Amino acid sequence: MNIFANLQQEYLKAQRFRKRTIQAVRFFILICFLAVWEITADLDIIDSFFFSSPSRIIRTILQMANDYSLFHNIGITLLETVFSFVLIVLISLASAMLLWLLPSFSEVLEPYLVMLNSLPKSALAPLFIVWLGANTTTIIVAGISVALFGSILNLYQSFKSTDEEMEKLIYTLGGTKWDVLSKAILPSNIPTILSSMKVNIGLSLVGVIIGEFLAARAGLGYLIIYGSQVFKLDLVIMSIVILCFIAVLFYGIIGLLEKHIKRAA
Amino acid sequence: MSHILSLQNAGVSYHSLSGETIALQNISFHVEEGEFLSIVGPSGCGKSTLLSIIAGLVEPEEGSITTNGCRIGYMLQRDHLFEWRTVLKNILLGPEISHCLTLDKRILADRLLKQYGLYPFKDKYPSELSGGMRQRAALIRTLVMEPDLLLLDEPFSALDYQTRLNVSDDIYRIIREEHKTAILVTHDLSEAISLGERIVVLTKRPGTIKDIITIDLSIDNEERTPLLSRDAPEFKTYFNLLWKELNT
Repeated sequence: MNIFANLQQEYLKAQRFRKRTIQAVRFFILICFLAVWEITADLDIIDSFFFSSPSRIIRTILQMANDYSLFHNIGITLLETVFSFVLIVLISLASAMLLWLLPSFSEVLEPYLVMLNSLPKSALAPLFIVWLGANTTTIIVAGISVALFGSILNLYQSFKSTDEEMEKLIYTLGGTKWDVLSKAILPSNIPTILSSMKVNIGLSLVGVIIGEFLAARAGLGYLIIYGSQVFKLDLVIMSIVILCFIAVLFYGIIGLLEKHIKRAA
Repeated sequence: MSHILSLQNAGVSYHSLSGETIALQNISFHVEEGEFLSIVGPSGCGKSTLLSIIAGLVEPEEGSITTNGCRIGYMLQRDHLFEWRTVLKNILLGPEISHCLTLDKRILADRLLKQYGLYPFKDKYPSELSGGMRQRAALIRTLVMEPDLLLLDEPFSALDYQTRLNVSDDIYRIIREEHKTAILVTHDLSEAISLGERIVVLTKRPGTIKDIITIDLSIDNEERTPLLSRDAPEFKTYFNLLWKELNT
C-alpha cells in the first residue's frame, strides 16, 4: 500500500517537473530571442532602422500610449474583429441550419459555396471599397468574407454526418424535422461549432487586417501600412507584436468558453 | 381479445438508381391486446422495415395496416440517450417534443424512475450509467409517452451476454407490469422464444411470412420470465423447430 502511494507521489512529482521544464524552456526561448535581437541591434550587426529592436518597440509603445493613440488603434481593430467574428458565427450557423433543412436547395448551392470558399478573398477587398466606400463597413465585410464560406461548409458537413438513428429517435417520439435540428443536431454539434469558432476568430482577424490595409484611417492594419510607407518600421513591427498578443488572447477566450461549456454539459 | 394491430398483405420495396429491391411482401398478421409477439428472420429480411411500417415512419406500398388508433412507442437498437441531457431530461424528451410536458408527465416519469431503480440517477448524465441502466432509461423514455403498443428493435443486441439476459428479464417485467402490448424484433432465436407468446418467422429477402408459431411453455404464465422460460422443457423443441424453419 505504502509502496504504491509512494509510486503515485513520484509519478505526480515527475509530471510536475516535466510541466515546469517545458514552461521554463518556452520562456527561455523567448528571452534568448529578445536578447539576441536587442544585442545585435545595439552592436549594429543588424540595422535597427529596418529590423527595429525590443527597446525601440517599447519606446514606441510608451510614446503612443502617452497620447492614447495606441489604445485607439488597438480598440478599433479589436472591435472590427469581434464584430465580424460574431456575424460570421451567426450567419454561418443560420445558413448551415437552412441548408440542412432544405437538402435540394443545398445540393443546388453546393458548387457555388465550394467555389466561393476556394476563392482568395483578398481579391474581393478592392471591390468592397468601391461598392461600400473606404470605411468600417468594408473592413468588417472583408473580415466576414474570409471565414464565412468555409465555416458554412464545415458546419453543414458536420450537421449532415450526425447519426441518422438519432434522427429516427426524434421521429419515433413524434418530432418534426425542426425538432431533429434543435434537439439532436445542434446540441450534438456543439464541439464542432466551438472548434469552427476557434478557426473563425483567427480568420476574421486576417480579414480585418486586409481590410485595414486598404480602407482604414485607424487600426493596427492601418498602422502597419502607414509605418511601411513612411519607413517607420518600429511602428510596423510593434503592430505585428501586438497582433500576436491579440491572436493569443482571442484563442484563449474561446478556449475558456469551450472549457466552461464542457463543464456545464 | 381485440386486435390492436393488423396488417393485410402489406409490402414495401426500396428504390434506388440501380433498381428496385422488394423488402417485404404479402405480410399479414395481427396482434392482440396485451400480447408479446416476437418476429425472427435472417438478417436483411426487412425486420426493421416492418417495424418502421407499423410505427408509421414508412408507408406500405401495397396492402394496408390498421392500428385502431393505438399509440405506438418505438425502442431502437441502441439507446441513443443524449449525452448532454440528464437522465430525467432524456426521459422527458418525448413530451417536450410533442409539447405535452405537463405535471402528469413529470409525475409519471418520477414513478417509472422510482419503480425501475433509476430515481437516484435522474440528475446524472447517461455516461455515468451502466449498459443495462441505459437500456432501462431508454424504455422509460418510450413509456412516458404512454404507448399502447411497444416496438422493440433488437433492443438487447448492443449488450454483452450477461447484461443481455438481465436486461431482457428487466424489460420483460416492466412491459408486463405496465400491461403493454409488445412486438420484439430479433435474430436471436432463444430471445424470441423466451420473451414471445407467438413468433412470426420471416423468410430471406424479399421477406414474407413463413410461419407463425404459438409458444406454449409448461410454466405458469403469471410467473413467466425470460430466464425461467429458457429452463422450460419445451424450450429446446421450439428452438429446433425455429432453427429448421429458418434453414429450409
